[in-house]
Amino acid sequence: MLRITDLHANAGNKPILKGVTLNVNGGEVHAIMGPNGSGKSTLAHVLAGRPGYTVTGGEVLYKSAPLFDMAPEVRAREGVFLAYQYPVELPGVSNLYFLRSALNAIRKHRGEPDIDAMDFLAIAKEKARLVEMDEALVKRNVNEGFSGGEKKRNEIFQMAVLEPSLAILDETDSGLDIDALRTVAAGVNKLRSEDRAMIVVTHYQRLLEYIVPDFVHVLIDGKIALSGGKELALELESKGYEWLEKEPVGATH
Amino acid sequence: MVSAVAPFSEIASAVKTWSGPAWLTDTRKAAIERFALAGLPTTRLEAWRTTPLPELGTKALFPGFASHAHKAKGVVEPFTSGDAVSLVFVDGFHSVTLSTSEAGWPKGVRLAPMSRLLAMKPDDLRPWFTAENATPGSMHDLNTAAFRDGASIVVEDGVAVPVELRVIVVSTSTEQPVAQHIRNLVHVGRGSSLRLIVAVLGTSDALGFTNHRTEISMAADSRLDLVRVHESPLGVPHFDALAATLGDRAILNDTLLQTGPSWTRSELDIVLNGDHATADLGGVFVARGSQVSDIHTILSHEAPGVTSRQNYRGLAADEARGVFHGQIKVEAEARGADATQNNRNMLLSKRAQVHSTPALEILTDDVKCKHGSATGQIDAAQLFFLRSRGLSPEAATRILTRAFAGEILSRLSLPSTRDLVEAQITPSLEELGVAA
Repeated sequence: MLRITDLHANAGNKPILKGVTLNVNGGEVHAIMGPNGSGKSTLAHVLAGRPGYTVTGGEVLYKSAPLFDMAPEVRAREGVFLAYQYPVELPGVSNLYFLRSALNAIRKHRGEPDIDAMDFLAIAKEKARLVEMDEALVKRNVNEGFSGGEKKRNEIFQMAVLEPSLAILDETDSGLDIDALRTVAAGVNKLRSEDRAMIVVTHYQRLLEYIVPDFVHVLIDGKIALSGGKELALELESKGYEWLEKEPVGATH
Repeated sequence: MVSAVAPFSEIASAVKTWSGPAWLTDTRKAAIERFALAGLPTTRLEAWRTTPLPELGTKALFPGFASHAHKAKGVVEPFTSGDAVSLVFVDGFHSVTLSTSEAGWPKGVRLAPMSRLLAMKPDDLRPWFTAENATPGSMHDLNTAAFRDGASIVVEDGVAVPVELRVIVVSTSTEQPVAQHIRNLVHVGRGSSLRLIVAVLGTSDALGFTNHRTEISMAADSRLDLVRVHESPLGVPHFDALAATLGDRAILNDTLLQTGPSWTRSELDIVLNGDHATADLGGVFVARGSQVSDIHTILSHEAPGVTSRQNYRGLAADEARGVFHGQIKVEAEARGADATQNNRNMLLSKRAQVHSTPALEILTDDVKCKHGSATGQIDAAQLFFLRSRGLSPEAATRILTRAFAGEILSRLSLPSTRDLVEAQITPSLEELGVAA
């Protein structure tokens, strides 16, 4: 699904990613952990194509095609989805209108016919139930006046509607209380499937109690310092990141 | 050198031949003389500094005689369907066939085309012209001298008009450019209320010039909900003036959708001279191509406790220029006046520009006055978000510009009105170019 080889990238002029190598297969959930400033969010943004970053080396193949040859909207149409750490508010744009436009853009890319407003409403209601999002929020303007938890749930709702092949969740747990975290994680878990890969970027182990990963990678200073199974998250929870920063260990995955 | 009044020079001689009472002929003569002296406005005038009039040519822009009702039919149809009562003017003159028949006019409202009043009861108009002062501006003078038609709407006291009235002004002439000088007069009686749409439209290939003036007097405790759609076609530059005086506790709500492709300038001159009168104004201009789209407001606060709200937005694309000039005057007697003005503009290309100028003139300390102006580009984070969900930059821009203008549309609380207006302006919003 995704093959990242020796990826180097700058934010502005500052090198942030300094040789990331990672393979993600369909159906797998990979957690990317690491201290603040290690490059976790940069990795998520670079994969989604956010402006402001420059790829300075390495290669990323998505479904065997070079990812960086695709404009952000083409990546999205090919199934890449970024759930934002700070979801964007769109005053005056209804969730329903925006999401139907997005879904139809993706369907057009696949050569499928447009979905009309009536049919889309049915889909949206079904997906809202799936991720336990209040139907009233579905019809409101995108994230306008939403609480932190509602915004994050809206990201997962969008993911449910757009059905990506590769979902990248950027610090989805940040700013959530435990109840909100549980609901959001439950939504994500319902979207796990054999043909969908997920990259879960998080600072804390807490999220991984609810979204249990297949693999855990620790990003330190722009490189994967350590990889392991889900138990690695627990180890990090008790030991912190400091021991890794002091004596860097080579990537093992 | 071409005279600045050349396109209108034939009006001067024509005015003298129009029948009518002496007072009106005298008023018209005086106006055309002032116009001939001052000429068309130029950028040498402070109020016109950023709004050059387009070249009108030397061809006579004479008020037309031929009404092309058949050509206007398609343009006015969305406005004439439903329960509303419409008065339609085509190429400067009332169209009986396109307007709602008199049998359908609401009770308690005296409705008439100005052409009929001029012919039958011109003295009824006299009170509206006693206040014409010596220096109203040359477009106003031209209108006074040359208007032949328009809507006269008098709502009697204590009448809540149950249907929406619609005044629709349409340009259709293609062989000969036609100047339409339209004068609407609206009076809302004591304790009465009225919903009114005024739309300036045209067939896409029409040629000419529109000088459209609406005067409104609002008695105590009256309410007017006004919606104005300025969608004049490219070949018909449109000058528009709205002058309103508000009596005690009167409420004027005006929403202006200035989205058409032609050169357009709208002036609003609102006088709050009744205690606790309220003017709630909002609008959006959309400028594209090499267009100039201008909204100029003057809010005069002249009585205690008056309130004004202004929320104007602008979108400028391509090489277009948008202008917002908002003047707030607070006289000494307007104790406790509360005035706010907000102008937000979005530039969609590097060559587009917006001139936004607040002008405050406050002669009392007992006043609350706030104004703000911001001009920026499309929000990069919002644009990227939409792209990251699969939308092209063009589609994303369309969604964001529609939302930006949508805040003004959301002022229209009546769904039927909002749907009608939205359908009317959507093609213009979707045409907005996306340039680097």
